[in-house]
Amino acid sequence: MKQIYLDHSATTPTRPEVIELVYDLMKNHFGNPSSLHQIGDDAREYLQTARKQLTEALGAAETEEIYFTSGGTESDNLAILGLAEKVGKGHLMTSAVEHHAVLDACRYLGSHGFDLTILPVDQYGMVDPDEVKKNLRPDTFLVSLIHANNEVGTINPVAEIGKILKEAEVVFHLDAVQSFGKIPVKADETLADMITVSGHKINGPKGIGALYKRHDLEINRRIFGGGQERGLRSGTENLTGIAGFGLAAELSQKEMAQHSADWQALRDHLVERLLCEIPDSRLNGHPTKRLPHNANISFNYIEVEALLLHLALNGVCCSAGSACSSSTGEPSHVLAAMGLAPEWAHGALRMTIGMGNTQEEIDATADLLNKKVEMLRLASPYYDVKTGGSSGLKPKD
Amino acid sequence: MKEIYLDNAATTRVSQAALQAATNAMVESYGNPSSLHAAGARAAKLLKEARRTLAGLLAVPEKELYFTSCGSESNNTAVFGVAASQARLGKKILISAVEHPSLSEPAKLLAEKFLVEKIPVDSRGAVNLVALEQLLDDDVIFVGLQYVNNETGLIQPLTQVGELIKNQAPQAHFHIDGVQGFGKLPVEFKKWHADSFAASAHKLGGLKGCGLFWLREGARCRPFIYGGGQERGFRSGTENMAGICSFAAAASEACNKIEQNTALYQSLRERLWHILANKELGAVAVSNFTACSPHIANISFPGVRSEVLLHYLEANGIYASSGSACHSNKSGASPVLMAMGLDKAVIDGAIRFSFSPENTLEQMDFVAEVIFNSVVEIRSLMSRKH
Repeated sequence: MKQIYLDHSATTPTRPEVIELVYDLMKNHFGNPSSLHQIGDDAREYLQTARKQLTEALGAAETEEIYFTSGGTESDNLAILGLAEKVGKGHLMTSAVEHHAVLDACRYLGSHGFDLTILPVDQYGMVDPDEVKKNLRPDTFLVSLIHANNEVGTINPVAEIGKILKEAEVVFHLDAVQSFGKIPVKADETLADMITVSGHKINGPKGIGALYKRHDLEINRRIFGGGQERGLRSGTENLTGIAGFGLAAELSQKEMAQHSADWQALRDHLVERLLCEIPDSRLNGHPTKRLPHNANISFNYIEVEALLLHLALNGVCCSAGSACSSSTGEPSHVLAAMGLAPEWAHGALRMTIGMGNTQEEIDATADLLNKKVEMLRLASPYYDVKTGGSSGLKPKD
Repeated sequence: MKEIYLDNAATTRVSQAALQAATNAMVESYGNPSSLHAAGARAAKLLKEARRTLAGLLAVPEKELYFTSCGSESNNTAVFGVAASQARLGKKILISAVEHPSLSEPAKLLAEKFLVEKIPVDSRGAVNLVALEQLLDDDVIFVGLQYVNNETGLIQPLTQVGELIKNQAPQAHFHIDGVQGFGKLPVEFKKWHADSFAASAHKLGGLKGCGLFWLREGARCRPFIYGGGQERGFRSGTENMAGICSFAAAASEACNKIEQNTALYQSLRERLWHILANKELGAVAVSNFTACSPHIANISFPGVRSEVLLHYLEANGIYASSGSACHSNKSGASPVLMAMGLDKAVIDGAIRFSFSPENTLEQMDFVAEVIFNSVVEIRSLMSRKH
């Protein structure tokens, strides 16, 4: 059975160019970048190349503004907890639809002496800049927001929010793990003071991330030790991860226009087919201001776990929400915050397109979903009630 | 010119088995282990296998092992995590005077709120057990100690320390920084009465950017990184699959060959020292060979600054270091050698040679010859200057 991978927001296949580079490093360039001899120098060069690649991709002013970490989660934690520890007390804001790496770090602060405001979102999962403005306090020191949502793909008006926060002199942290490589994520355009990005969402390696931090912003370090990453993040550098990430970042920027157009065409085709062909279905998230590769569609009268199982049995990989919360079985906090009724939230399926997906795969997925949604609805007591107990005979009302 | 890499305590070449495991993880099993579909399941299976392998090597249940991003993160997790969750039990934190900065720096930060005391060491670098006994009381919540010192190779007397803690301060958490010991020497958590343990992949042939943290079930330690709840909620973040798989493969290889490698390292160290000691160079063995892990030999040439000699070595394709790589970007004498009470001339001339299974006796003959010629040349240049 051929596999159709439509879960690129969970993780992406490592691209061949990156595998080749990582392989070469593993075989031939194993030095510790802190070592003062030639083998260390050689390793350090790869580190510097990658730092330049990230600097360019994020539109940072200087390479010193890029810090490598073990992933998006650590970057989010470092930005939020590192700044809070530096500041010591005060008020911070985030939104109700953040990734848990942001939400849980903020909640931790909320229960340890800081004041936390969790901003509401609209029906699309978007934060209203006016809400940000309205909730600002004299002691607000940080606003941490997701650039584009990992479940529904909605893009926040970050430039507008960035402007408000710049005027108010409040630090703006942007979690760009999902948007990076799909839409432009630029420090100067978003006016963000800190930006989180991750390697494995852009066809790079897992276990590597970066934090952009404006050069004159000071935060506390969290991992202490040998003083790597200019003292902000100790630990011997993940050389293969960093080099692979740098290359993936550079390639993703070069290919972004083409990829976005390709993925959007496939996504639009998928959404159009599903909404037209399957009754009682709806698109979650903003209809236009969304990531080009994200389709989040709810099928009423469906428990998405059952649907996912049938898709998986037929080789189609997608997810109910974020991969990180897939084992908890709890309904998505993102859809709940958007005010989606439970019967829709329970049937929400996220399909995210990426490198290598084809029109044939998209059509095969749409065909399969047509069949499986109908089959599961026939077995659903709720659907039975809706169709007046005749669902066995007349499934498609 | 052939390269002779003698800086394996800084980092190691990626072993063939580790390279294959990492490549397989990237090529065949790129899924997110948290995903419920086939691609995720393949990755989850690899993750489980790696955890089982490492748990087996450490003789602990799988559920007590957590993957981290490096040894430093594991040590930070232990110090900060235990201090946060045990603060009500007491205020005293003990570490030795020769710890790696990933243990001593977090402890230093905690000195604002806790009483941080350093256990003194003797001239070999081993903790003074009498002094430790006096420091241990019912106010101690954390004792952090290296298994093997990264600069000298000294093996700490963990069994005696563990006994003392058990008898004098049973409430205290005993953390062991095993970064330099794992894969070189056997681990015996029960015998040591240990509560947690840190190790790193890149010190034994795995990739950089991957570490592990063992936490005994029942031992309390607050998580350090919050988010998606990976690693049973203890360490969030999508798993570094290539790193983790390389770690398991490399650790198996290393642990299964401990006896064989130990014999090799002993013979390498003996050969190197035997030649150097006989050359009337005034060489000083900083590593006390009977008390040290044989994969590290710290040897000093008093009167010859280590940076200078290292340049001569490098010109001959020999790579070693003056101390830990983490320190090499900073000026100042090694705090480890200072704590051992060594003379300044010995400290300034100290070079760390650290071995891997790839090193040979012939290499040691060549290295000793290069050292001899270089030291003679450096000394004659220096005497001319004066």
